[in-house]
Amino acid sequence: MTLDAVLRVRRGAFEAAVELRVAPGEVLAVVGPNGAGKTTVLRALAGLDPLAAGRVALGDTVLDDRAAGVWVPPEHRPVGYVFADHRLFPHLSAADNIAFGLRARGMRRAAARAVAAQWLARVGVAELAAVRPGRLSSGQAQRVALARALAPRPRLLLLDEPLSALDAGTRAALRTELRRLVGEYEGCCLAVTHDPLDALVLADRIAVLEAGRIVQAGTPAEVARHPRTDHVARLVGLNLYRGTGLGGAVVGGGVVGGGVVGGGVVGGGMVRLADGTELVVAEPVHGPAFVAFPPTAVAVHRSRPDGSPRNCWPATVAELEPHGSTIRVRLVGRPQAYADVTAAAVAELGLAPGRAVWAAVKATELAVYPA
Amino acid sequence: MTRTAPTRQRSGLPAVLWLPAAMGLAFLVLPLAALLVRAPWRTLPGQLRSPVVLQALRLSVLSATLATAVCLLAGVPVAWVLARSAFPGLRMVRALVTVPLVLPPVVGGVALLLALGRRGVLGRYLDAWFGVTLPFSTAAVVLAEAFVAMPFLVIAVEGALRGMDRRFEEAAATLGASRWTVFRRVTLPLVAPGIVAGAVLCWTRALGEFGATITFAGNFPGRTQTVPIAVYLALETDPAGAVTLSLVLIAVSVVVLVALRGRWVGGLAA
Repeated sequence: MTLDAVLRVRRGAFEAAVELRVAPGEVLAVVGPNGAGKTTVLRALAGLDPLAAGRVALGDTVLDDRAAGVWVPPEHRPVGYVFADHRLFPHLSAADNIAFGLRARGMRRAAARAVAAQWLARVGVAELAAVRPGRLSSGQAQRVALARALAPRPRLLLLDEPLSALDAGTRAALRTELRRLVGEYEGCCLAVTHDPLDALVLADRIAVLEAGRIVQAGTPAEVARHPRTDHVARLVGLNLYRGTGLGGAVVGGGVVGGGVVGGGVVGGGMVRLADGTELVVAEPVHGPAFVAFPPTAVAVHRSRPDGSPRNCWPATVAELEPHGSTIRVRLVGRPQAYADVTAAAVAELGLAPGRAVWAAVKATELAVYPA
Repeated sequence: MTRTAPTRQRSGLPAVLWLPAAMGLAFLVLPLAALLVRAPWRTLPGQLRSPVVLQALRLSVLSATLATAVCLLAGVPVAWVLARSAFPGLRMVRALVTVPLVLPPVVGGVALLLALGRRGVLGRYLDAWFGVTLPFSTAAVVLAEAFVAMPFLVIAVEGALRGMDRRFEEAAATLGASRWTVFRRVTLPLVAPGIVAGAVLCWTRALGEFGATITFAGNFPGRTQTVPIAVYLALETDPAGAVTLSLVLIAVSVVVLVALRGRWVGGLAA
């Protein structure tokens, strides 16, 4: 049931022309700035907006084919759509919102209620079954919206900035939830986002959309390594690791937690990465976690730096890739990382492939998310 | 947002407007006050129990309710077409729908007679084929009231439909809901406040309808004599009775408006 789409959509003077292919069980993240045409593409796939030209097929089922005159209306497409502004029906309870799609597709009331209850439990809001959307928090509402889209078992799941309307704390929690749900989902999934972290956490592949065109596509690692445009570099420029939070840990005989950072006393923590490396983070964290920091946060030194950086490790320069005014340096070491440095720094430090350097990142620059 | 604190509270109204405003208010309130002053309060309870009053009141409430039902069944689809479709002549149709608003009700009654009377354009076939004669029946009362009151409902519901957030209908479509299901389960519930507000306006307009009713349905006590018609006729023979009936009409309207106000009529402003 692979999604195969070649489409051209017009919206006023703007035109998006993209080619997309998503395998079952795969998650493709379409990233790009606002106005790049991300939502336009999703709406066309859902049948909410007409194609100017092109063809959309899910496996053997043709949903849209301008040349052949085929067009399946949205209500007959096996598609689930999660909107940025959850769009839960304000006059229906959370459970009835989830049951809506099942009822619309012909399921009996009692059966739909039962399935809705299961989904409420799956997204962790079982106790909110009878509550109307107006009284749900934004995070709860988006959980219900996810359940509503998934309950009718769509073969194509479209996520339109599913986390953008949430505050930071809720966002981290729901990102984890979304990752789990999308991981269990067997159909094709297309997620649109402008947040690189969302894309890197959720997606198997990334397509970067700019001004209606896909400028680069590939696995997150490929795209991060060779960003083809300045914008892509900024967009997917993120060092991201999976690891295990060890809480406030004792390292090298000294207590790391409680160190003075930035003039205030903060509780510190440790995260052990898959390769055994340990990173010091500002907040203690337990259990599986993501650690992320932008390449601009990585300082590169010729020798071991003194002073405050908590995370400091030897590395070898593997590659230099210029983009715009900065140069992205790929560092091989434990952990591997990208660093964005200025051209002047490259000259001053004599950076070239094979050169041994020290990389340093402050604990406060590390963002940590429970995974 | 910065705001400079006013040195003195000023209403911002030019003083010259106060006088005409006061006169306008007096003009609106005075007749109602006169009605209350001249009401035969002592004999009122007895008059209220008279069969003529009760009969007229029963017929008025029944026919206004039926007329509202007719308006809902026909008017909501009309409002939907006006709000959602696009076809050549749509503006013309919208203008036609509002004609009964500006038409003198008596003219409406005459028009109904010409259309549905025994010799009417349509009425002659109703008579010939089905043996149905509409004029001067309770059904004629309902039709006359519906004719006059329908625009109120259509305008209110059309406004609600236009103001409605259509993104919910899109969401429903992506969930597999057919257009009819979307209309039934999403559109209607979301514009319900507008529909109720329109129905209330429609009902009160139907309750007070006089001109079209007396022209098309006549004045037969118990069959077509509604309260407004009874008031008009009583004015000649029994002025005190006319006042009583007027008070009854006002009371019913006020009770309905107050009962629905907080919950529903607010939808008019929305």
